[in-house]
Amino acid sequence: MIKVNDLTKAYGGETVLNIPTLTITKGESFGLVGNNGAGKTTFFRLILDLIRGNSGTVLSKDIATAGSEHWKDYTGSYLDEGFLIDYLTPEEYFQFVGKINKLSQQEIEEFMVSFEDLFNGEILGNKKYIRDLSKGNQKKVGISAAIMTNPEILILDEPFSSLDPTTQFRLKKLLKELQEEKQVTMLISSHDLNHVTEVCKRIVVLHQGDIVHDIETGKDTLKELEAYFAVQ
Amino acid sequence: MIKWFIQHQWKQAIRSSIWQKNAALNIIIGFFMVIMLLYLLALGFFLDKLLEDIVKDANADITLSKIIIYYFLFTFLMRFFLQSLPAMEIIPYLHLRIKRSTIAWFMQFKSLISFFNFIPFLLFLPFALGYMREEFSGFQSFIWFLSVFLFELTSNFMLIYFKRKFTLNPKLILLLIGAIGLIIALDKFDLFSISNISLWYFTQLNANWMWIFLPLFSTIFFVFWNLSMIQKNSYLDDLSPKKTEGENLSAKLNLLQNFGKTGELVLGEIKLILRNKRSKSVVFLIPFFLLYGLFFYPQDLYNDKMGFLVFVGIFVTGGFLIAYGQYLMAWESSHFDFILSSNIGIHDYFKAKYFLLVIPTLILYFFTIPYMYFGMKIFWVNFAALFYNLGVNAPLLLYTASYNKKRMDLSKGAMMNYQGVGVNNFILVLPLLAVPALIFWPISVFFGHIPAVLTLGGLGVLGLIFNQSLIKFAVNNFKKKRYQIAEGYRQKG
Repeated sequence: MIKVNDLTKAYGGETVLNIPTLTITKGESFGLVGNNGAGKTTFFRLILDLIRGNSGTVLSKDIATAGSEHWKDYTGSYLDEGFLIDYLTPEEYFQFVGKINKLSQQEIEEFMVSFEDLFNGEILGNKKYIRDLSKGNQKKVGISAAIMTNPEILILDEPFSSLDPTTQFRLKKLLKELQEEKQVTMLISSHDLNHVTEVCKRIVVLHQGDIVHDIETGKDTLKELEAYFAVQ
Repeated sequence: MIKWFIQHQWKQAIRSSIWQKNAALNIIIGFFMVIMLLYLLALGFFLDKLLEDIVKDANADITLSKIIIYYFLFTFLMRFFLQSLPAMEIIPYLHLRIKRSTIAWFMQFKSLISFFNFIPFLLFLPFALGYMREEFSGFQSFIWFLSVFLFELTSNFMLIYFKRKFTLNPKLILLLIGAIGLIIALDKFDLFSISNISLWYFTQLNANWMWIFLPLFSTIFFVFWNLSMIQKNSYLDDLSPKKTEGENLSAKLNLLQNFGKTGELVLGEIKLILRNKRSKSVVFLIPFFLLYGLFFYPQDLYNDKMGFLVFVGIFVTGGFLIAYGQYLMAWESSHFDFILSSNIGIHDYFKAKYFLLVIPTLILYFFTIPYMYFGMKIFWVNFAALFYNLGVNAPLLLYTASYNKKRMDLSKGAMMNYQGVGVNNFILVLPLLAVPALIFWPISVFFGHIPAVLTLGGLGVLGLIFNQSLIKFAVNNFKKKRYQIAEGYRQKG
């Protein structure tokens, strides 16, 4: 689904990301962990063609994402508030995202109903603009808009941070359902080792731009990761 | 405590992101500032001559006494749009061990720095020192100026009160404008003359200096009135602007959704314009763009200079186009990553932008038709300028948008706001206005007026015919520059 070849990114001569090769297969749930500055967001931005790599390519369905727009048809993403149109109400934002992804009015409505659980009554019908929502609620809007388009690839940067415990729990459940029922390919980064090992079947650890671990999640994974980060 | 406040104030001023921009921009802004100050000062020095020129059979001080009340009304209104309440800045102090009254004093003190409070020194002090001192005594001229200054201060402190009231309920602004309009109308039709009251006051003042206490007391009154108001209302939920008044206009434009992605994008952008302070103030500027012609058309001096008429015509028919188009993409800088990564084709995106430039310009054109009154020559120049704006300037703005890489903060008003403005903006506006004039002028000199109008309009029509290719050209340019643009837009502050 996604193939990375010789991808590097440097800022001012300092390499912040260097991935010689990486393949993510269809339906895989790919967890990315690493300390601040490890290159997680940089990697996601490169996949989404938001920044230019110094070398290498990211292929999505065998087409380089840089310069093409094909991948946009099947990729849902939420990295940060830069993905929200903050002067819209959440409803309007969903409408907008739905319409540009050619969802019907009914599909959009159905989506909003299906997310009521996650929204916990705080998102819809409040007539608040997104900029006036709390950080956590903004994140809910962004994540659910990324999911609503029924993407084949879903890219989320630290989806669990600043969410309340109940929502974290519900989001984990939702992500697992998407994996099982729709075989969505997921790329998720997180600082929370618990969450990420629970949701993802494959964990990659980045350290200063390099992949230092690439493991299948097993029952000892969490311990391994904790041991790794404890000595960092 | 006040020492700290002043120190913070100073740091805020010198660390402001305005100064950290490049020197060239500061020089340009500084240049315009100096020009403006010199204009005011010159006006102040020649005020007596000017007034006696306007009203020939009255002394300058009588005329001034009559119209100065309008000066105060006008500056009060201007303050409304330009002077900001220092409310947000006191939030970090609220939880500290500082008395609320101290904070309230500070807020008022801070308002004194407003530019408006210095205008009397430029405009009226020369008049007081020159004309008033000669006609009356030195003391009287001193009292006269003092009272003018105190009235200005009253206006300053009154504004703090009213502006607070009006941010809670923005519709009151219309009421204020209506009230001022009514006062002018009543005066005009001799029903109730506010200028006579003004004249009466200054006559009294000249006779008896004790009348100085009127503006003095009004100033003190508003200072204390504000003090109690600020102390009572300094809570976070009072200070931060009211959320979501609900803006319904754009919801009524739903039919745009029938036009596919482009329509959807246009609708989204209309919401952007109507819901953010910065973009809204561009909309408020539209009447000024349209009325701009009134400065020039009545004067024969300009009427003969055809190149100049084109300059005015481009501006009158394309004011919105230029003011909005300058920041074509920067308006969306806060969610630009979304634009790039979501399923919006870049071509659709640019097409939507093109429509947003073209449609309002067409609508606004109809308001410029009455300029026909000043001669058919102006009508035809404006008509050609319209086509030029649509056909050439609009695609040009699409193209140059890729050179604007500064993030814009939409939550602040546009007046005197240079956040998100770069030297590029100044450089890019020039060709929009100057090139058509430079094309027009030589042709009209050598071949006459009609061929010049036809050339200008013809260029516009050509641009309209080939608009698809021009848009594509802009898109290709954007594709090359998009990483830099997105990177620039991510930089806050």
